[in-house]
Amino acid sequence: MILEEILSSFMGIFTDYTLRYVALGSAILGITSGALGCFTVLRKQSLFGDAIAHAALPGIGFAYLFAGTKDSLFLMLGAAIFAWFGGMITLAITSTTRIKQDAALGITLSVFFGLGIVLLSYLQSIGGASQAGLDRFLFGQAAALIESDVINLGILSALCLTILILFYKEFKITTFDSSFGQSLGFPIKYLNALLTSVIVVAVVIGLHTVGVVLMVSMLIAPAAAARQWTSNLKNMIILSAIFGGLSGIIGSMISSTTEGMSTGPVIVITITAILGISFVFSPKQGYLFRYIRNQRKSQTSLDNIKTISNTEKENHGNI
Amino acid sequence: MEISSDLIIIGTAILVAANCASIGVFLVLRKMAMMSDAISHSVLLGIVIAVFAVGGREPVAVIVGGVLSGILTISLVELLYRSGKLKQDSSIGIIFPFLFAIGVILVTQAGNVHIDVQHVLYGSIEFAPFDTLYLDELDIGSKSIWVLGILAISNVSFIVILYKELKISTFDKSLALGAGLMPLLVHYLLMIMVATTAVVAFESVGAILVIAFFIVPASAAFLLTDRLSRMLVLSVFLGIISAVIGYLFALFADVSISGSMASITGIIFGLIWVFGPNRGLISRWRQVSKQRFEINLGILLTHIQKELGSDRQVSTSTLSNSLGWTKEYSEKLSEFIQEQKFVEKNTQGNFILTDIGLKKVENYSN
Repeated sequence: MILEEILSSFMGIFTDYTLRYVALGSAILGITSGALGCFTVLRKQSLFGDAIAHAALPGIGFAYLFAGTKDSLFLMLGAAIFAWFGGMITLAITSTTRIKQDAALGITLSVFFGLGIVLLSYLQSIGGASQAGLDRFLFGQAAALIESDVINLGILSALCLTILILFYKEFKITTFDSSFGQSLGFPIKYLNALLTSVIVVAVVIGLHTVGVVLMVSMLIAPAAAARQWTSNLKNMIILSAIFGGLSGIIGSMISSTTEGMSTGPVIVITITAILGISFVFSPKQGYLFRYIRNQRKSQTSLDNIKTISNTEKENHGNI
Repeated sequence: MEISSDLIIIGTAILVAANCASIGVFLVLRKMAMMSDAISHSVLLGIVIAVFAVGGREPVAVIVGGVLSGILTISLVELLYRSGKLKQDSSIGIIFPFLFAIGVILVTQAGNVHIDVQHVLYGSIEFAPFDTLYLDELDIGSKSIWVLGILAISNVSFIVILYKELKISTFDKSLALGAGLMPLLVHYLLMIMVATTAVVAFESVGAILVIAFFIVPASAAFLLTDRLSRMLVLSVFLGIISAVIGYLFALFADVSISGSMASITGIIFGLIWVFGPNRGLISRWRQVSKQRFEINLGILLTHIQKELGSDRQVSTSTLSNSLGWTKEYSEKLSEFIQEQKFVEKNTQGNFILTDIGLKKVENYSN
């Protein structure tokens, strides 16, 4: 029965007008954050995404306050500016004080989010936020996506992915050996800023579908899952994008079967499940094959011992 | 017992601030600040399951459920991290959204759990006065004050009793191991205290304010002092100040109380970051420019001595050329050295070193 429901919901992508956009929007997010998340994971900046996603919230509030529209492009612009600002503050704290990165991330995350809540509650008290549905950015409400939103998301995503393809070599070198890159004359500082900017855009895309709170998962989990299958950066990015997109589609389908279920949490659970499957089944590092290999190894060594002891017995008779 | 509701809200906030800010010091020093982010999100799952199991919001069940899920989070993160498949921060970033997502779905899908998803994030401290505790049907006052008060007592005793162990294992793990102070046990005890504090505080103020009170006051205190004991006191003090100012601002502007308190912690941190004595941006900038000035003074005087020694003339106008300084800076410095009587001008307007100046140069060359 559940299978039937899922199947009918899958068919819904082709027939149901709303679901098509929901699934499309979630897939766009999954592909973009999956591809770019590889860099945050490899640069050991996983929680940076968490901080800048939270920092985006006041941006949405300010954008609504000043522009007075809930046009997604304006809201995303505000969100992007604040996410960027939050990222810069985090870097500034770690570079000018003795506070370590984890605390700096926590400061940015909680203070900016607090500011965002102040703004949302202010908008609510003057009677705007609930009409604009700004609180849907907390956990994401892909069901509220309309055609124009999806087109905006698509354009932004295409922009990010184009930059990623154009600067692939540069991003690769800054990620793995930035001092070597510097010696080759690459403008490492600008490249880092560019990479941060595309990650900010990916985060902003995610605000619509998974929301600020769970966004970090969309950056890390697909990349971590892809990492289990390959050690090649190009393959990892492609695989991570596929995992992200897949979890977006599956997640939005499952959430559409149940009334009032936020899309974000379902997508997050889906991508974490993909990660779990990768942990178990990946051929090189997976638990399953490692177990089988270990079994085989111990079997062969057991056989070897048996042969040796048998030959010993033949040579020396009974011991 | 009739206590005004304002007082109960402020009291609740002060207790949350004090509880979180004291434990938070150790999180910040041990580079585990983001663990509080993870724990304060994932306790939601434990709380929801506890509410399901008991069929109501029994405080004890909620706390036990929350603490268990906090421990589950820590263990899962360490399991992933120790398996070598992921880095520590990636493990945190995967585990807590997953557990939180399950919690959110359970909350939204189960009709009989009276938890509002948004209140999970920013709490409902506004309602603290209405949630009273009954002892044999006798109203003994606000529940949150009681629970947080008990928590405060246990947190203080935890820190006081294990102060030496906490201190040594925080700053020198191998010494703690060698001295038999059981750093691993201390680590887990600390994590349990973090989880308990997070659950109890979470109930009244929501996840985000918990994180703010854990991390921000402790980080601000870290910029002000080098002593652990002072850092603890300062952190609690800054937390309480933020709570009070935050509450007053929220009343004044009619906005979310917990959001406002979190913002105030940030503003106080920002002020200390910029204006703080010794480590503040401004005083550090002053120190740096003072040092630069001292160094340039040395360069200038040695330069003059060398040039005079090889029979060349030095004047204000030649300085910017030979030392690469801007015209204004050279003028400023040459005025300074004349005022200090390190040099004098001869009749052609060129510099000659005075006796004081010669001594000063000798000091530099030594």
